[in-house]
Amino acid sequence: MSADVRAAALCVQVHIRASERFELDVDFVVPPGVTALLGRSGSGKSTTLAAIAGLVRPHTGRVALGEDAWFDSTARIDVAVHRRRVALLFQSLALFPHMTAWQNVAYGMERRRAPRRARALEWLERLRVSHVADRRPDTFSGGEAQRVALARALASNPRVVLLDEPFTAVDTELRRELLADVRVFVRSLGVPVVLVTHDRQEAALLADRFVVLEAGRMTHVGAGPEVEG
Amino acid sequence: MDFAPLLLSLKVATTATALAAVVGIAVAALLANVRFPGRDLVDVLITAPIVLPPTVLGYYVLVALGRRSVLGHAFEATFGTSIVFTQMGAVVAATVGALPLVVKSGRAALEQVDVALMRAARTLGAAPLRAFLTVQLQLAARGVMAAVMLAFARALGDFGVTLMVAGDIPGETQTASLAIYDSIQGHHDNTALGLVLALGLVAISILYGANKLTGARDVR
Repeated sequence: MSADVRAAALCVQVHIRASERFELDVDFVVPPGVTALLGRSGSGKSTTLAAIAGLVRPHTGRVALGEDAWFDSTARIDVAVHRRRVALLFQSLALFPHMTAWQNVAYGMERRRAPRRARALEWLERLRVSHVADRRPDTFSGGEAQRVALARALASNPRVVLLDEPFTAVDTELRRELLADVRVFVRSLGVPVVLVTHDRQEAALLADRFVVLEAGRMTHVGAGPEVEG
Repeated sequence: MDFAPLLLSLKVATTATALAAVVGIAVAALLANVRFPGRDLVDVLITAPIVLPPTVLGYYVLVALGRRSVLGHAFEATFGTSIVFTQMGAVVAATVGALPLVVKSGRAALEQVDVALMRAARTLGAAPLRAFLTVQLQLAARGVMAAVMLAFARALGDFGVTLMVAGDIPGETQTASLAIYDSIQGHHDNTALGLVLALGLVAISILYGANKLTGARDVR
């Protein structure tokens, strides 16, 4: 992975007519580092993430990482989800219930590079959950599940990381620990990160930049805590 | 008692189930995961054999695969034998009846898998086929297996379509169901009873097994 690709910014121009009443229209840039996407539920945050990941196709717009276009309605480009190398940490975590922790983490790893188990264990170790490596998700505690999901997302060598309200279901103490982990690991990747949240405190802790959405429109883009008002 | 019809039934049903499983799971996956124009129409056409009278269904298959049809003619030119009134015809007849069960129940089982898991697999770099094989199909395995078992039971007992497409040729296309009918007609009640018990036992065992599979805790 060359340094210039690592340093590329994510450009997001997305226009989606979801229904008569809801229209999503956003245009922002995510430089390497964490950008928080703030807004009430139904403001279009998750749809924006889905469009970046390629899970939802915008009607018009452009999604590109540096010079590498993933979606471009005028050039008719629409790169398949699995070729974008986007790590999406789902709100529900979406851990594969039929696989052990290490198999979950290894799922997104390049298959040519062996040994996958050893590399998966390294990630579990880094996130302090190596003790669940051979167990299945139904035996994990809330915190263990969060950490395994985070390890799985980061281990896939992503070019962009998307966090969809990742810590809504955990208590304050654990949440503080997880946020600290995210800050360390996500920043060390040096890639653009989009954090979707409705929690302004969480956003202020992690993000350098803020995009505020209201009913599908951007009402604020920028850095600094002034958006907290 | 002559076991030939029973063995033929097992052979025909096994082949038909294998065919119906491969085609049916592929169609079920397509219907469950891909939105395409005409999806509802495909669903209706594939499941129509459940409600169509066997004679009507048999007629369609005869028209589609008979010697004067394009398909039937091409098959005969290639393999030197016709489809109708052969064991191949019996397999086709059983497959047509078994396919809708695999598609309907298989689709329902596949659709029960949380869509977020499929999305997770895709974002982790899995192409659609890999995501299907490693996540969706494995999590729906019990339901899909039950669907295939029901298809086997259905294929084993086919009568009407088999009679119309494959005929009732002893030693060639006479399956257990047809042999039961012939035995009753010829007043060979003991032969009929043996076959009836055998078919009934297999069918009920399969239904019991399928219920066990779907009733057991599914991994989600």
